[in-house]
Amino acid sequence: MIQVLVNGLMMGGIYVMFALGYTLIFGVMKIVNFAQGEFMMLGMFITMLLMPLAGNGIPYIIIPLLIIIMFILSAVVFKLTISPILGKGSYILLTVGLMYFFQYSVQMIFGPTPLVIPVADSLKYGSIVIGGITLLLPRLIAFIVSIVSVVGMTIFLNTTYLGRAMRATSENEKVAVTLGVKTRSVYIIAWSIAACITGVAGLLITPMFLAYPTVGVNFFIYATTAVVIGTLGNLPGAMVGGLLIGLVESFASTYLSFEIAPIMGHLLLLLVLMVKPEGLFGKGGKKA
Amino acid sequence: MKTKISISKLIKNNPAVLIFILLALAAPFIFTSGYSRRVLVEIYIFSALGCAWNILGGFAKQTNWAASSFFSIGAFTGLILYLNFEISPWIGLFAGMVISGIIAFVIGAPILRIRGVYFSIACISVCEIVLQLWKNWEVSGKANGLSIPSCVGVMNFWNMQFTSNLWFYYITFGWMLIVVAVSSWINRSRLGYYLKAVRDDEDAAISMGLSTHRYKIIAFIVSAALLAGTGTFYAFKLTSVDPMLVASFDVSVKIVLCAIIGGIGTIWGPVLGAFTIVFLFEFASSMLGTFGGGVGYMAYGLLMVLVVIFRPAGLISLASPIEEKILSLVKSKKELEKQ
Repeated sequence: MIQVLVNGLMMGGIYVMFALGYTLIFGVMKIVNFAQGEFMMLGMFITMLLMPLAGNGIPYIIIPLLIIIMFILSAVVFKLTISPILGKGSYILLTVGLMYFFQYSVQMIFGPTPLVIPVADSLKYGSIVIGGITLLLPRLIAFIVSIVSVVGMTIFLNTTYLGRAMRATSENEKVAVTLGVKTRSVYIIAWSIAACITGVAGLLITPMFLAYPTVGVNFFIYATTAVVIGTLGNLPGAMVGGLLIGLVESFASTYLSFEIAPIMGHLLLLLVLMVKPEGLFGKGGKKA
Repeated sequence: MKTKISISKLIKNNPAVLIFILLALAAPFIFTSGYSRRVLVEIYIFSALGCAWNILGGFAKQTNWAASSFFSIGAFTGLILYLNFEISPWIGLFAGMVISGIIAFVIGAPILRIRGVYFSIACISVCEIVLQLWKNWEVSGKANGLSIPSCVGVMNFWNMQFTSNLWFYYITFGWMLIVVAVSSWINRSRLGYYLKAVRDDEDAAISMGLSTHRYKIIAFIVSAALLAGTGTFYAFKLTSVDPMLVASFDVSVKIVLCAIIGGIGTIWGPVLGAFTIVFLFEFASSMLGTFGGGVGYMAYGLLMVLVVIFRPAGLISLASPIEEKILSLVKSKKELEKQ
């Protein structure tokens, strides 16, 4: 019972990480980024390509390099696609288009078969036992990193100039512009930070999951559920939502069946949307 | 009466439509190969799907990503009734449409209260749930789906199985015209104007005393029934159907894409979109096949991005100046005759 709970929380940590990027983009730009899962997938594949640099099979050393690559890549994508249609186009279609483009570009290069990323066995199967509860090492690290990033993000948004500019843009773009905030730069930075966070989430799951072009889709759906439950654009909400989804998935796959587990997440999402369309942390009034 | 007028008006106002219909009727005798006919049938199927989706997604701009769920309901209902009870697909067609309509009502009533992005997200959830249900239901053959063994039934019109692919060409073409006619009728009807009011400003529409929820449900039901009808034809054309082929999110994207690339909220836009997309997909898969699978989908993604950036009104916006020119030519000729 407690083991299932812990497993759920650990898995939830990964969803939290993913949901963090998702909710940041939505909060600042009011865009639901359907290509978010593909950032994670790209993170996994970039990790795979950079793995030889890590030498000993521990992927965590290449995080800085991954962040730089993801930042440049996502900034270029933003400049080429989102920038021309800001404020007038259909973001849903654009990001679904990007989703397909990334998925199948990667499939063309690496093929559709799931690839094992050469992570050291000591990390892959490593675990810590505390009071009869097994904590898998990669999951624990992922969980800790995700909690650290939520805390870091909250501090960033509340104390730095850029963070405050982001919150101002999120509240009211027009007022932010009149106050001298360069909203375009804020958008591009928020977008790229979100891409980096999601890319790092991709790196964190490499010891646990195989890399294939559509790996991001399932995570995207879970993260959507998490983010909507915790209200789109709300950081603590995303954390609660992510952990909750992890728990639901863990309990459903343990006590019901492995096939039912994905359905439960969706049912929960539909239920939340019907009862509280603005999510559990919604104040109402502010519309998407 | 009303429909008759609108159809004759449609043809009078759109000389291009008449030319298109005549060309399409003659096409199978120009393109005699099985492959090209198959591609054309695929185009008509996706034209019909795009038009059906357009009723809610285009006129009211409620981006419904659960289109493939209703499509699959039609496909599986037709096959299950035929394989288990030997009921003709022509009856299964209507059974599928009715079932799909009922399910659309049950799902739509709560879901259509949700607005904007949240509605789209809820639809994605519905799509995934339906896919999982097909994958786990014994009667629909779980993940393998259903197929018509060649020994079952006689090749005839009643069983919707033919030796010549010409039959399906005209059946799907006719069905597409029916769907286009329904969509055109809705466009001009009171319902169409209500839906457009929802698209422009739902709050304003509500404050004018319009019960927008009711009209969205009606549009959802009509759209779902037409999607299901198309599904039945598709299933019997392919003779074998599995959940991933008809119920996955990818299929929804393809349907939505037909409507959007062609021109969202227009009558003939989805048809143009289906032509573009199916051709593009076939072209990419056959010409660029050496790069490995998935080129078609990559081209989709790219096209989608490009259309959103450069042609947000869809490809049909390219056609309207040409059409205007033809219309003005016809008008000036008439005026000359009068003088």
